[in-house]
Amino acid sequence: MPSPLQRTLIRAARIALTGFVLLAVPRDAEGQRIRRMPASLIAEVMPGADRFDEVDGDPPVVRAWVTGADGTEEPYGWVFLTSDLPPEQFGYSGPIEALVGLRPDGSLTGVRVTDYQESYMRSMGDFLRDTPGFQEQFAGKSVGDPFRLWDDIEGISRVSISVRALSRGVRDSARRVAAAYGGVSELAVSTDVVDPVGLSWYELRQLGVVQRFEVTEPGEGSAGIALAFIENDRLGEYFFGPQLYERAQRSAERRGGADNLMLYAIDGSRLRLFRQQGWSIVQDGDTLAIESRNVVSLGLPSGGVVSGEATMVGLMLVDSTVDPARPFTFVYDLEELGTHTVEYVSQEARLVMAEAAEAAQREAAEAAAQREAEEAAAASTPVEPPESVASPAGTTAVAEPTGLVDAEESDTVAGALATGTAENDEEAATGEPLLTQESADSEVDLDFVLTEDETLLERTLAGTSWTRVALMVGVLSLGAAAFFTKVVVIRWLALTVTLFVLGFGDGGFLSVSHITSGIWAGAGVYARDLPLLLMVSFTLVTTLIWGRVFCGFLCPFGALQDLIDRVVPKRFKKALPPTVHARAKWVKYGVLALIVLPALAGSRVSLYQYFEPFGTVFFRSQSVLLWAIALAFLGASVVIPRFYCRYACPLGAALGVLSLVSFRRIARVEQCTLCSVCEQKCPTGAIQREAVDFAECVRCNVCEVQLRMKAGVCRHDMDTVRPRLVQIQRGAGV
Amino acid sequence: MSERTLARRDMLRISAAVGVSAAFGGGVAAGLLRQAGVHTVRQTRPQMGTIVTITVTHPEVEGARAMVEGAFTEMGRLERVLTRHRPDAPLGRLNTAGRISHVPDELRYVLTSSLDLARRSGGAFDPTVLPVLQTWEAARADGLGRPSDQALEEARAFVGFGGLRFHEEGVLLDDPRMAVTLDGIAKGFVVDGTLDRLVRAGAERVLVDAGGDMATGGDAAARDPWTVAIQDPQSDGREGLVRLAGGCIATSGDYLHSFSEDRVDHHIIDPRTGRSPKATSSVSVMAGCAMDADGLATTLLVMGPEAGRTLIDDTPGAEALIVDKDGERMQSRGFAMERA
Repeated sequence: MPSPLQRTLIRAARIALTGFVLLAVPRDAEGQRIRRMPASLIAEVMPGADRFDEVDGDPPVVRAWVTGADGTEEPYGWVFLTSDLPPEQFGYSGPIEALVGLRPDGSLTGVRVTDYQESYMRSMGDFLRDTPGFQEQFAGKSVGDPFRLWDDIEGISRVSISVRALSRGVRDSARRVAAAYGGVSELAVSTDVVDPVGLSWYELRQLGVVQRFEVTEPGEGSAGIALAFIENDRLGEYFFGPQLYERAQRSAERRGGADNLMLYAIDGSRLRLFRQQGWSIVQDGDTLAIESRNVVSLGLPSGGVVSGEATMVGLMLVDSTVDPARPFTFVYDLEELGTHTVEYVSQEARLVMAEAAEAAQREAAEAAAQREAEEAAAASTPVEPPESVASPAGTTAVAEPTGLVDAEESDTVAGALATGTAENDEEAATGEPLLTQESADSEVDLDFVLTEDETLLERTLAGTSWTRVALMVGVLSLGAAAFFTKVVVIRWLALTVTLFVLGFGDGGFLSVSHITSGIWAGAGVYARDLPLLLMVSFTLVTTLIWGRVFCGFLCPFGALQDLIDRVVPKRFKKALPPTVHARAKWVKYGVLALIVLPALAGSRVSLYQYFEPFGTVFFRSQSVLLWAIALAFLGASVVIPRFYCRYACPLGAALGVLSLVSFRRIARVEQCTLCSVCEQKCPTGAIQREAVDFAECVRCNVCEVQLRMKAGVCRHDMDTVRPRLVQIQRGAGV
Repeated sequence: MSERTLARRDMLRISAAVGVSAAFGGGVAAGLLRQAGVHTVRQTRPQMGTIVTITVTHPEVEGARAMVEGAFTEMGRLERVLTRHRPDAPLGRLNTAGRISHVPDELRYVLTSSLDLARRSGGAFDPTVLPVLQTWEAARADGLGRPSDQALEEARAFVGFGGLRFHEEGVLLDDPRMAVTLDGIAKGFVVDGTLDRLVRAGAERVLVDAGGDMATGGDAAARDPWTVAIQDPQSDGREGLVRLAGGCIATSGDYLHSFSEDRVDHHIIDPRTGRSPKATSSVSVMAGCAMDADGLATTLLVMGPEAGRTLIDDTPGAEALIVDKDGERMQSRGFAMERA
């Protein structure tokens, strides 16, 4: 496990990188954030689609397509981001962002709440998963993996998201997308004649029994106006509740009665957008104005199905000039805010039209059947005389107009139900692709249960970067190759790779903090991070067999000191007197004890960063104090090679203790009793004549490569060693 | 002779090396086995009006699922005891009748704690703020941006925690038009109760996250703390990271529920003025229990940075991060956050 410091720094780098990537993505205007959504997430909220377009349109959506059996593509739905449709009213939780999949029939295929800036990386989960009821209603299921998406952050402390506001936001934006892209008309194509009593408000709107449109005053707010023809008293009572309907009838009577009663209901933030003036009804090209005295407010709803759906309700009294058995159009002239129209088809009108359509269809079917039969007959007798052709041609001529009328009529029906066909399409957004009927203000619509389960091992493996593993294997192999071949070039190559890859790049080197975390949590902690496990195992095994190979080849700080040592001229070098060295080398064991003993005693205070400059240098610390410490060590290593390793490194001390059991040590030879060449060259001062202080030795190859020919044989024979020794002693001023 | 000694020493060394390696290998293998066996079960549901996520680490998956299931049940039960939104709940009855005779222990505890907080904050936190809150809610429902000054003044006349009294078994309001809400503190208590149940059931490492108010616990959480980010109120990004090894955190702020674009009016109301506090944008509080964190976060948001700082310094075991409307950050000394 990397040390907390390391983790922080790695994370900081990652976040900085993410931030950079996000900044690099152009953010055109507001919204348009759906552009940043990965294709996988888009596919998740709209399973079943075969192809997705690029983001397009206003509001921006991704269109989804399916390919039919015959190879033609059909529209399948839209995917959009709620934040691309900012809420019209405040308090609607603007910053909460959800990716939504919407079918033309108004159903949602997936809702995924994404989370702020790096939203798609840390999704809160798909609402439609594992949701009894919810799932049945929206047969969507996605295959996201929220565990991975959460990355290493396990929660975010913030102001609580309001589920109610969230569902309202999803619902409102779904409505607007459906209205903008015509989902409404497809939704509303229904010529079924049903008994409206007993249906929910949602169903009433879906069936066109209630038509609702929205009016907006820019910068101020909007209001929704719902209209319905009260075909009979039973429906009136169902709409208003018995008490209010009775009052409604009384006020209608006071105004001299009326043949047709229309319900109106207003919701939204700006109720004053409903005015008594400006209303009229158009039927068959005739316009009938509704006098403002015939627009009667009934105040707050106090029962019936409209209760809870509208803030204010009322009646419009319309005289018998309007025939409710035929479609008609409400026209609402809001003067400076434009004119809105809503086509209305009552149940009665629908019944009439359905009968007409059925009759036409029947006729067309009969005609078609007849033509088919005639054509079949014609085909069987291809060389018939011309006179027999006249008959089928005549039949066709009759049938065709019927077909056209039929088509025209169904178009009319669809158009009538679509509503909002006025010049002001956007404002006349109506239709009801609702989440659920109750979604308006209950929390029922977001009742879901999202359960995820994962073992730690699964998580470790899922979180493992195989590039890092490969990198680590590469670095370890190079280090091992350098150690075993004793080729000087490979060693410098290995040290450079260690310094830049392991040190500045990956950060996967060892630190004394790995010892303390091992003490705290057991060796199992290394199993949380595969590259680390490789590194720890390699270090442990090599140390037990050969000594501190890690220090000589895999420690980036050691590599840094060796490289400094390589470039600094010899004349700057100065060794501590042997007696001082012999005492000073114990300091690092003291440091080790200072760090490890409290950990063994259970303390969780980490002190290592003040002794160990690795993090400071390789993770580029911000702390002046830590940099002062690190630079002091590096400065000292200019004069005394591997100063830090010799006297201060607690990790080296620990490995030194471990290397006491190493059984493959550097062999000494006869010459060593006299010769001090190795002794002079040793970067850690571990050699004194024939004796090697093995706990100090970092297995750097220097003595072995430079001074011996092969194992146990010095390249110098005794006769040359003696004069050289004298020279060296003179040179050193001894 | 000497060679034999060396050989023996080598043998000793080799045995030692093998021993150390075996111990290490065993430790790693045990770690891997444990990892393979330990399940993390995370369940998310809407509850208490927000989205609640409970994460449990446990050696056995069915057990963990059962624990989480039970935890949500417990959460639902506590919610029903403390909610003001149900007319048949104790608070609903108190708000209608002005008195209740039987007070469930949990409600008594939270009421007592909230009165204590009200006293310590000089009324910046006040469980009797509901009439003012309802005035705001009504104004919004009517499509008005904000209530009239007159309506607010009228409502404020019925706010004052001194008018909420315990008597014998029950609770009494001085005026029947007074009303009590525990919205600013009860969620924390519910989170605590839920966590408590999970830990007692044997869950090793638990995180209960009620839309940002969090409690952590379990033996393993002490060894392996939870990493939690704090939302930056002014951007979509993160303020920083905190580690929770049994501690709790809660955040209150002017974002996500603003009634106006400039965030001047939002869902937290200063009981002393009847309006949203003007100085502070976000407060995160770390404390030993989520109820304290939740209540203090709300209180500090109302109090403003200076007074808030004083209160938090006087509260042992609680630390706070306060972000004011200008984006200035203030952190109590013990608020251990890593910059993200």
